[in-house]
Amino acid sequence: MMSSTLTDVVSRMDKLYEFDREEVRAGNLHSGAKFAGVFAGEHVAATEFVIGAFFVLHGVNLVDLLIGLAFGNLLAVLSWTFVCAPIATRVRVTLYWYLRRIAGPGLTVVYNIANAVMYCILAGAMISISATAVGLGFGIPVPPLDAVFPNSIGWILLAFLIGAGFTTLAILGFERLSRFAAVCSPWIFAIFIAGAIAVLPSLGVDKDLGNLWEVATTRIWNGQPSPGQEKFGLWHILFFAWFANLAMHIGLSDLALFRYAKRWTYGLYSAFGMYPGHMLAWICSGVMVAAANRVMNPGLMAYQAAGLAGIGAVLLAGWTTANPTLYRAGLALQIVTPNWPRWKITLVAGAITTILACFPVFFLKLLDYVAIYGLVLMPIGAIVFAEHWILPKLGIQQYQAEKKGWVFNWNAAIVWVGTLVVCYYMPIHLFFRWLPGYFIALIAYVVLQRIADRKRG
Amino acid sequence: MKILVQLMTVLSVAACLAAAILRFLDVASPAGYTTMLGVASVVYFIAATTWAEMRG
Repeated sequence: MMSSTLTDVVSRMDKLYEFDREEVRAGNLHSGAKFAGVFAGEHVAATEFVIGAFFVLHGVNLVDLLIGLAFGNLLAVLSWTFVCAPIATRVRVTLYWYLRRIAGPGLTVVYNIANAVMYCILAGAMISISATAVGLGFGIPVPPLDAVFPNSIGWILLAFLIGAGFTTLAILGFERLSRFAAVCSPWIFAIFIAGAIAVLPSLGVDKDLGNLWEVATTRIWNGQPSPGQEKFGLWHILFFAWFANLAMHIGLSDLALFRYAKRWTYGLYSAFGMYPGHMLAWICSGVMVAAANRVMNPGLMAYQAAGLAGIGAVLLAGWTTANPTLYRAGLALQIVTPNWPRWKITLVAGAITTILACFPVFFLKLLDYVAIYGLVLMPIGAIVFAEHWILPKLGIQQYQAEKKGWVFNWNAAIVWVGTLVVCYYMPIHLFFRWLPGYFIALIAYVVLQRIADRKRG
Repeated sequence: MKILVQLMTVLSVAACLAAAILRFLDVASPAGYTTMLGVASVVYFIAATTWAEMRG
């Protein structure tokens, strides 16, 4: 009974992804400029208003920030270039189809649902961030930094209304709105820059910029964490910048994107997203929060820095991130909701996301959540990497799940869960756990596959 | 027409940044800065969405 249900679920899922089942052909490859545009557009989101501001609240000093962001983003770019893009340009299929060959369709379904849940939480955080902007107009206070639950009926109503609004818009015309979202990115980025420049005088920066460094080191990134906030140093920043998109590069989700690349070196185009979005925008939001007396309220921060345009930027940045997220979550939900129309699935994904948005913990602990998100999906990237590169070099047969028709590759499942258990107990900071975890997953999978291969003779 | 729309898109983004620089230099008042930013933003969205429509 259970087996037939799973087969049914797998079959529905395959149908959903049928459109990208075929390998990308030579005629459909995209230019480098297109990759640069995609990365530049995707990495200026509402999260940027919060992340850069949190670095200030965590007492990072300026030198650590600059070195950490420069090298952390470089490592992210190199991860796309040397880990993700080479596999993508060899197999030319999405992670869904490649993982299916390696881990079996059952485990791929589990992976997809895990991804959807993570996306819903992220979208919920985006709605919360947007709520801080809209709440200004109604005098609704933003929950304090240590809040887990909503602190007022007003906050719940606000999150509910914004979530309902985003969901309704997604139902009415997802694709058209996605195109509009692409239009928003350059403007949001311009507002980040404008807001940071405009508040510099309020921090005491002279018109000739002569004391810019002094102000930056004493009034913005002065090394003093806000009360209750953990102190961050160089390694925290470096690792955060590296793993902020861990699921995409090391986790290999971006096989979907790079399968259209002409060469693996196109991974370098990710720098067009990392340095403007994950360096410049984070620096700008740090400046803005310092000017707003270090209060974690993205809406207020943006309003003080850029007026109504700032409010619009926070709202649109939240919406442009939540919109595709609702789509992706809906796609994953579709496998367990047979024959439901698209609007109904989007409504369910939107309802889950809206409920999550009522809990401010997801945006107030965004840095930790980003770390957990990457960590949870990272072992799958290690498994695929090992299967693709290491197994053939050791003479171990590849794609056993596909060849033997397994629904679950139990070795992959054990490695995934086992790695997460080991990472949970690691006596190091959450931000650093994924790196040893990656190598543990890599080695464990190769060893288990080698043992299984020998047993089979 | 296409070139005009593209030009308006680029110029409106430049105007957003120019407004901030004028505020930084204390040439523009806070109200003047936010008004200029707001107007430039409206122009940007009109021009950029038109450009996107033209590209299909």
